[in-house]
Amino acid sequence: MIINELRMENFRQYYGQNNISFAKDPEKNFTVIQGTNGAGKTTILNAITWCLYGFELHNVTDDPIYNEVVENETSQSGKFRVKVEIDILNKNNELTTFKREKNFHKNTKGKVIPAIFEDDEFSIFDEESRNNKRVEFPALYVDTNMPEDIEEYFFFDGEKLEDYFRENTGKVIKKSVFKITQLKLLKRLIDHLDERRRHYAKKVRDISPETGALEQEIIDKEDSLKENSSLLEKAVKQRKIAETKIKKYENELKRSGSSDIQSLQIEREKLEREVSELDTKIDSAKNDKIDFILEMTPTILAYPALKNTLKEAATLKEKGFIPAKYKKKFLEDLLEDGVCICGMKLSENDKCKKTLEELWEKTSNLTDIGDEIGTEHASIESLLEKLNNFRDKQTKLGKEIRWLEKEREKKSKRLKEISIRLTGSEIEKIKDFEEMLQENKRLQLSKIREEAELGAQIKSTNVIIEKLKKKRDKEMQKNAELENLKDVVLFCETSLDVSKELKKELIEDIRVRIEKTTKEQFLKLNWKESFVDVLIDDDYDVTVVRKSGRVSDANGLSAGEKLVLALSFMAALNQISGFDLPIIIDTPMGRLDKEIKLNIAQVLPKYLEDKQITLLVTGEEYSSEFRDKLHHRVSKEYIINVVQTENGNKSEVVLHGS
Amino acid sequence: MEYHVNVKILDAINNTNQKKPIKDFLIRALLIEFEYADQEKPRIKDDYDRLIRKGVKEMRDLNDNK
Repeated sequence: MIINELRMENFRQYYGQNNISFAKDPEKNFTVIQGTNGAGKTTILNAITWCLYGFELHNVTDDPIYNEVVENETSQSGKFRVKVEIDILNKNNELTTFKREKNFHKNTKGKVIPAIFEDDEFSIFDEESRNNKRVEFPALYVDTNMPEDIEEYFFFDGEKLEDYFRENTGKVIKKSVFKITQLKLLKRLIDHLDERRRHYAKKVRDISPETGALEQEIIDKEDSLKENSSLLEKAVKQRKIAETKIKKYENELKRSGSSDIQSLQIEREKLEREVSELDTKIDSAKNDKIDFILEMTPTILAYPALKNTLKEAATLKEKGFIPAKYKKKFLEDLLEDGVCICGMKLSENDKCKKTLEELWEKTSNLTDIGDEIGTEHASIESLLEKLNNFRDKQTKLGKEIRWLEKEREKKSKRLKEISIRLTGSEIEKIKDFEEMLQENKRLQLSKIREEAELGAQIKSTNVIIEKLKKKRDKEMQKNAELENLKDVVLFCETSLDVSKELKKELIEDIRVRIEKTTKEQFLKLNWKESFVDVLIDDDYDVTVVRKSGRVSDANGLSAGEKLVLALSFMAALNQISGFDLPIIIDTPMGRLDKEIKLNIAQVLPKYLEDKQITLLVTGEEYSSEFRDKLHHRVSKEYIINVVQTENGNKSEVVLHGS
Repeated sequence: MEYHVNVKILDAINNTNQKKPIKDFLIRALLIEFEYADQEKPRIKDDYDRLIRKGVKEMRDLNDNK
């Protein structure tokens, strides 16, 4: 969506009709409107917001919205009007015109008053309804296509951008993200649905106090789950803060200027890495030991039986049953069938029958499983051999663990020594850094424990809730009145669970996308190329990482870098909003030094390449060097001239050079 | 009337493994929230109850038709 044309009539400084046509060429997507302070740059932003929303939203003054020249030129009892029209082109090149006008008249005492009984007249005409037919419900049309809530992320004041990176930045940004992505709608949906679910739970209590008590228990458990989840979030945040501070103090120690301190810190980092590797190895060796014991347990338990089997097998072998000459079952079959192996009928040959019967008597039952015994014999022997090595392997693993633990102890001891040396440093600053570092490490450890405890509690509460729900559902089936309510409660519960899960997923997805776009834009726009990463945590606190590895929050950046970060962040918010609107930046570089301005001018064309961008600049901002750097991307250039007349000042927007 | 609720949220609802009545309910409730955004909402409870009844009915019909 781009602005095709803005037409202002008698709006504040702008006397009569002033038309501004905007850049439409994607290759030259910039429009620059230049004017001195007070000439009417911000008025252009306000003309747009007044037309769309009925309010001026930028640096609002108490002055009337009509032009002072037209006021002075209008005779007593005379009338005049203020009108703003905006032509918008959508991606299919279809035109929509937004029009707001307000009539005024001068009374006999010369006072200007709005036309009585007349509200602002706001109308929208789109391409299809151009024949004087208006779009129905214009306010709703604006609300659905360019809601006022998110206006500030498209039309913004460059001088205020750095406000994003002050105290409580994360909180402010999180609020903006919820607003711009409409996550607040989902949050309200959850609140309202939860309220209705509690209402139905009360109904259940009224009908059956027993079932109601179960329902209440579920709700109480869910409340405790919510509380624990929020405590967990808090613990994670505190741990992350502690980790950032740990990094910060470690860097401070490394950059302390004293080579002794630097090498101690470098040695410590190396030792910490080694300790961490040793921890992993110790864990793995301990697991190996346990796994081996578990693997061997069945063999240990079955040891007497296995030994006996081998003994039995040896006896059978000795007696010639293994390998079996005859299987007992085979002899039995011959006797049952009454036919000898030679084909003779046993009923006709007593001798043969007797021989077979004697053979059957002598043959062990085990000959039937002789083959199996033969095959298993090898496996049993191999198992028992493994068991013979059990003690050796256990001793070896135990030794390995003890050695690793000893190594770890040595390194930990050295780490303690380093810390004691740093804490005892004569340099006050070093002493402070080390103390803060250790304090934050203790905090980090305690938060890790807290996270684990809360995580376990959350897990067990979830199990209890599931059990309670099953019990409640069973109870509800016993009562016909409750049976109906059961479906309602279940429906609310499922919808609530789904929406909570969605909210969680969307928050993370949006954070990742904002981080990605902010990083992309920031690295692209930064002329020094001294940054390698931008990180945005769950609380939307921004951290930048320099090539040197130094990490700092947004407040640690220079004014120019901060502006670039803010612009990058705005670009990210703009992209995730889902609204396709043009961008207008008022005084983008107001407070910056000349050199930084030029650097920004150099990188600005790379900013949001697919968007129509309008810059409202002062002459000082738009110096000839700045203009040269941006020129190839600018298709419209205007100057706001301020003309003094006997009836007051009026501003005129004229094309540059005309 | 076309409402401009963030497409990402609607997509996320549609992409869940839930049954249609649940998805429809969430989308309808979201539109109600959008419609009442930043306004006093005296009718919101009634609207939710109506949507819940509708959802429960659709869910029963769906289960009956299985």
